[in-house]
Amino acid sequence: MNELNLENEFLHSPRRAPPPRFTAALLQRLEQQGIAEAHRRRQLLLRAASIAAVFISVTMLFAVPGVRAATQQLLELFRVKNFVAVPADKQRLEGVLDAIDLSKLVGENVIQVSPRAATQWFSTIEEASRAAGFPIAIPQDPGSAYTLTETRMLGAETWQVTADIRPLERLMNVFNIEDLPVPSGLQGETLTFTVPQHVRLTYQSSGGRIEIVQAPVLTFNLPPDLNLTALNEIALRILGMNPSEAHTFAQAVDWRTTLLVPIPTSVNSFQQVTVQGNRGLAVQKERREITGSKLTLSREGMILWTDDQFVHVVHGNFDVGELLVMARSMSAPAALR
Amino acid sequence: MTDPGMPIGRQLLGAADADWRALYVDQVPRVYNFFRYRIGNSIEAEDLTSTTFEKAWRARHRYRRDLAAFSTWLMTIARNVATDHLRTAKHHARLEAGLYVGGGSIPEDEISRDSDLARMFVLVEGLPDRDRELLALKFGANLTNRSIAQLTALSESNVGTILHRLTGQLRAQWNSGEHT
Repeated sequence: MNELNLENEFLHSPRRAPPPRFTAALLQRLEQQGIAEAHRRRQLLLRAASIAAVFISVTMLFAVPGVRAATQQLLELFRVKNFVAVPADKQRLEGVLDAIDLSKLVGENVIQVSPRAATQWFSTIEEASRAAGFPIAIPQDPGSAYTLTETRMLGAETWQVTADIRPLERLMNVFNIEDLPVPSGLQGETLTFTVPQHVRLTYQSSGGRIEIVQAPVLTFNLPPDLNLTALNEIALRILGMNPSEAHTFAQAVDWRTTLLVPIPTSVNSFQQVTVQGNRGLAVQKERREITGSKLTLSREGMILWTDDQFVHVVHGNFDVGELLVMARSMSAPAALR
Repeated sequence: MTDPGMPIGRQLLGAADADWRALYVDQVPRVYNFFRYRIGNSIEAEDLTSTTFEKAWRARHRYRRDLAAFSTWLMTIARNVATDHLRTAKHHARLEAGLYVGGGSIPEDEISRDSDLARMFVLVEGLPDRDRELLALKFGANLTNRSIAQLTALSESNVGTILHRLTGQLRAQWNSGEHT
């Protein structure tokens, strides 16, 4: 059968080109959405890194009970030594990151005990180290191409949260997680935690910008019977892992020394790396855009690791290989140690 | 308990890496005219085309090159958008050439094509929904019978047979002046 049939011209004739102003406006809208999404992805990645750097995880938010003043329970120190990366669907991650915004999650049960002190800027690393109270590690060989342009310290803040498991249960309902019970004993318990003051350094080069974050390792006081495995299994399911995998994964990790880091699935790759003998994560996002005959490649990378005392983040619009070289060269100047 | 210590490596690629602009330029006329034929209204066709591309953009990470050609994937979204629209629309707005009068300078051939669309739409209004969609896919989106078969789960020969019957029927009505 002929697919082009002059007898059917009356059926072909109504076809017309879309109006140019419509086509151009729609394309512009889609491209602006893409730019906006790319910006949100950058913010999402940096926010996830910041969150990891100051140790607010889904698990910790719901893992509440602090010291019972009346009973003086024996407590264990929880000290983060490792990160475990879990891929998370972007929409799920946005939902979860919204949920762990304290003011949204637990409503009026959140009290800022002490507000964050004003950010301070410093002219030298030495001044910043003295103010922060710890030696600041810097790249020993950043290369002549890099210039340190900003040294600042973000102040500590203390929060008190009264646990309310109902938002967690609602979040679990949203994702149809009906087979896991929320560990008992959380409702109404109070957690006090301090987000420590931390230092951010900004290096600039002609190729872009690198931000280095250093924050003291946070320690929590937790009751020894708190079921972190169960809470992290819930977190893994919220992030999208299937029930069997989440259960196996949760059982395999020592959650008292490990922090779960959700990685948006919009990133291209993430892998475990070693930085100065410490286990860490490397995350890379690339975007290729073709405009006419021009190919534009944009990159964003992050290295995240912890030593015994600090969490370190190196983040910038560079290949993770370059960021890893920089990370591995970092140490505090001798005069500051 | 032991630390997992397992190296993790992952590469995720999707239509985000495709040449989106080139695909857009190539497919907009197809989608736009599909809606013009399906709905019979150029203004609504613009809205539904926008909706289709916005949905495709948001879902681009789910596009799998190994499962379907991009045009097939996109037209699947367009069909669903059309179905949703028709389900909620209270009536089909028919394009009248006279609506453009006084709206600024409209090229004469555009008025003519819109008038043709309106007349054709009168003819197809009484057809079953499936037949109307096949006509929109064939003559609006300008798809081959094979592509239509992939979209609709009909066999290619079945698509050909149905279209042959429909075009004969419509041609007879057109020539007899039943559209006026």
